[in-house]
Amino acid sequence: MGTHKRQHHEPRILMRERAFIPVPLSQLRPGDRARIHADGMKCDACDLLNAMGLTDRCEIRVCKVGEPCIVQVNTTRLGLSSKIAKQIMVVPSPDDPSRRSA
Amino acid sequence: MTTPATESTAGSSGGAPAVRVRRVALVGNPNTGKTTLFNLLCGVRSKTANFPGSTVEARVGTCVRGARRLELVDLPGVYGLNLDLPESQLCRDCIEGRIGACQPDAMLVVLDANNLHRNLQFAAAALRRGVPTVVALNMADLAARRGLTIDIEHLAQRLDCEVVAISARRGRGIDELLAALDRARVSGASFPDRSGSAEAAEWADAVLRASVGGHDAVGSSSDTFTDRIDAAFTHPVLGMLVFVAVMSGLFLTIFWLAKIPMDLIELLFSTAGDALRSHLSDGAVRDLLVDGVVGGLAGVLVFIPQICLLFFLLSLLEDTGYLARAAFVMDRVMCRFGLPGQAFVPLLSSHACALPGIMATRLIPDRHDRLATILVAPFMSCTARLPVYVLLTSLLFAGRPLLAGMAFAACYLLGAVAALLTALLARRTILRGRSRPMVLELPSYKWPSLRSALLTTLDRALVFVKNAGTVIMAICVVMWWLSAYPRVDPPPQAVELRAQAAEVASSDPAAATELEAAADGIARRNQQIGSFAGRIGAIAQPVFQPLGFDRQLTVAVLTSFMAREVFVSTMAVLVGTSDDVSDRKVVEQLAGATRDDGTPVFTMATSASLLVFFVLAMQCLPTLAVTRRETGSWRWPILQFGWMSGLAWALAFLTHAVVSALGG
Repeated sequence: MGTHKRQHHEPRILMRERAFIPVPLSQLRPGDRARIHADGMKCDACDLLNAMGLTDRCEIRVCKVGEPCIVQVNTTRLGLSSKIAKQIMVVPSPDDPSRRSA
Repeated sequence: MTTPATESTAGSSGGAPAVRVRRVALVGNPNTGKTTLFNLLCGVRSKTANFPGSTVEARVGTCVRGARRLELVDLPGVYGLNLDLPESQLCRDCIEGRIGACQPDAMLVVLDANNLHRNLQFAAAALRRGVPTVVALNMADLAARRGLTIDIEHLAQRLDCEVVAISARRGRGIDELLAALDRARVSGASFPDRSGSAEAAEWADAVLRASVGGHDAVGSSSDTFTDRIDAAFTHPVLGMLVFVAVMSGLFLTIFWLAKIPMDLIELLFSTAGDALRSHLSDGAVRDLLVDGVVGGLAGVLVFIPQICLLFFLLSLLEDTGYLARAAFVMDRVMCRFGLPGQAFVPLLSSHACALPGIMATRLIPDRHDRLATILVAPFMSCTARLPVYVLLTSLLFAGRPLLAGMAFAACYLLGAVAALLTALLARRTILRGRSRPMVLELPSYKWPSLRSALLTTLDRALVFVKNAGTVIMAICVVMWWLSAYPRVDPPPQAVELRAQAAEVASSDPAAATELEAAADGIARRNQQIGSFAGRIGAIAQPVFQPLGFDRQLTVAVLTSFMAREVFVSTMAVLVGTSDDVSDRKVVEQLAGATRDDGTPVFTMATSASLLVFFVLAMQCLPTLAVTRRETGSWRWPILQFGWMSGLAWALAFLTHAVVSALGG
C-alpha cells in the first residue's frame, strides 16, 4: 500500500539513472547512501548546515525520512525539517549495498 | 606515535613562544562536553554572565588547582565562528577582545574525539584567529572503546599547537590539560580558508587519515538500533505519546516533590515573621520587616523548589539526548503559531509558574523565537490563578459542579489559545523574520551526568535568588507599602466589637475570640479602602466600571497585580470572611457581598468578565521582573503588561456586555 502510494506520487526512477541524477534528499529512503551534490544546497540554513558537517560532496546515510528527515554524516546525526530536506540535492551512491538488491 | 585514544598530551616544538595564561575562553561545537569540562574545572565557583550588548549568555568561573588559578569563560557551543548567529557573534567578540571583561589570554578548543571530521574543521577555524590555543580531545575514553587510535603527536604537529586527550566526564587528563595551557601558543600552521567548505572537509579527511586509525575512523557507519529509537521518538503518533508520557512524568514529579519543600519554606518564613513580630515593638519598622520584607521574600522564594526541580530534570533529560528528538515532535504543532518545538517545555512549565517557564526559554536558540515565547508564557494558567478560578467558577455555577468544571477547563484553554494567537501575531508584526530553520544535531543517547545537572540547577537557582533578592523584593515592599499606608484608625464598629470582646473575655473566651476576629476583619477592610492602593482603586474605578467592577473589586484587582492569589485574600478582607475558597460557607459569604448601593457584587456578568480578566491579565510583578532580566530590556515587560492587560480588559468588557445582554 505504502509502496503503491510512493510510486503514485514520486515517478519511479531507475536505479542506474538515480546514480547520476541529483534528487532532493527528501526522496531517498531509509538506509540509502548519497553524496551532497556540488552546489546542491540552496536553502536558508546553508551556512549552518555546512558548519554542522553537511558539506558539498560529503557522503550521507539516510536514517529516517519524513518529518524530520534524519541523516548521518560521519558520526554525526542531523535532524532536518522536511522543508530543508526538499531543498538539498543529493546524488545517490551507485555502490550502495542496499540498492544492489533493489 | 600511534596510541589508543586515551589520555596523553603532545605539542610540537615550533611556533611562537608560550604566554602566561590567566584567562581562558572555552570554545567548541555543541555536544562536545565543553560545559562538562567547565563544571569539572570550576565546580560551584562559577556564575552566568550577560555581557554588555549581547543577548546570549556565557558562564564565567575560576579554576583553582594547586598554585594554578585560571579564570575560565565557557562560551556557547557553536558550529562555526563566522555564522550570522548571536552565539557565534559572542564567541568572535570574546576571542577578538571586543568584550573588555572577557578578553582571553588563551583559547581552549574542546573537540569530540568521536566526531573529529567536523570538529577538526572547527579547530582549524579557531586556530586561524591567532590566539594562543590548546586543543582538548574530549571523550577520548569513549573513542578508545570504539577502537579508534589517535596519533596525538601527529595531530599536534598538523595543528601546530598543544593537543591533550581527556575525558571530562571521568576527570582524566585534566592535570595534563592545565599544564598544556601554560604552554599555549599561536599556531603557525596553514589551514583552509573557510570552515564548512569542501576544501575544509578534504583537509579534515587528510588529517584524519594520517592521525586516526581503527574501524569507523573516517566515514559513516550504520546504527540501526539508534535509527529505530529515533524513528519511534520522532514518529507523529508514537513520538507524541512518548512525549506526553515523559512530560506528564516530569511535571507530576515536580508537583509531587516540590510540595514538601514549598510547605517547609512557607512554614520557615511564617515562623520567622512571628518571631520578628513578637520581638519587635509595634510600629512601622516591624510592619516593614514582617509584612514587607519577610512576606515579600516568602512569596517569591517559595518557588525555588519548583525551579530547582524543573531545571534539574530538564538538564538530565537534555543530557540523555531525548529533548532534541522531542523538539521535532512538538515543532509540527508549534510551527503553525510561529513558535519552535523547543517552546513547548517553557510553555508547559508556565502552567506551574511563569517564572521557571520564562527562565526555561534559554533552551530556545533563536532570539525571536525566544522573545515570542517569553512574551506569551504568562498567558498559560499558573497555579497562582487556581484559587481565583475556584472562587469565580463556584460563584458562576453554584450547585452545578459539572458546569463549574467545564468553565475551569475553559479558562486553561482560553489562556493557551490567547498565548498561541499572540505568538502568531507577534511573529507576523514586531518579531517578523524567518525563524531559524529546524536543523538540530541529534546527540547520541547516553546516561545523564548528575554533577552537570546539579551545577546547572544551582546556577539557575542562584540567578533566580539574586533577582528575587533585588528587583522582586523591592516591588513586593512597594506594593506592601501602598496597601498598608497611610494608617487608618479602626472604625467605631470595630472599636465597639473589641470593647464587647474585652467584656466577655473572662466569661466566654470563644465568643470574645469571634468578636475580635470580626473587629479585625472590619479594621482590615477599612485599612484596605483608606490605603494608597485603596485610593488608587477609587480613582481607577471608572476604568473598570465597563467590566462591571465596583470599588471593592477594583481595589482587589489592583492589589492582585502584586500576585494573582492576593485577589482572594483581598476580597475576603473586604467582605470580612476567610480566604479558604474550598470552604463552601466562604464562597456563600462572598456571593452575598454587596456594593455600596446594596446590589450584589458578583452578578453573573461581573463574575464572567472577572474570570476572563484574570485568565488574560498580566498580574504578576515578579514575572515582569524576570522578563526584564531574561530579555535585557524593559521594553518587553512593558509590552507584555500592556498587551495582556489590554486584551484582558477588551475581552472582559465583551464578556460583560454579552452576558448582560443575555440577562446574566
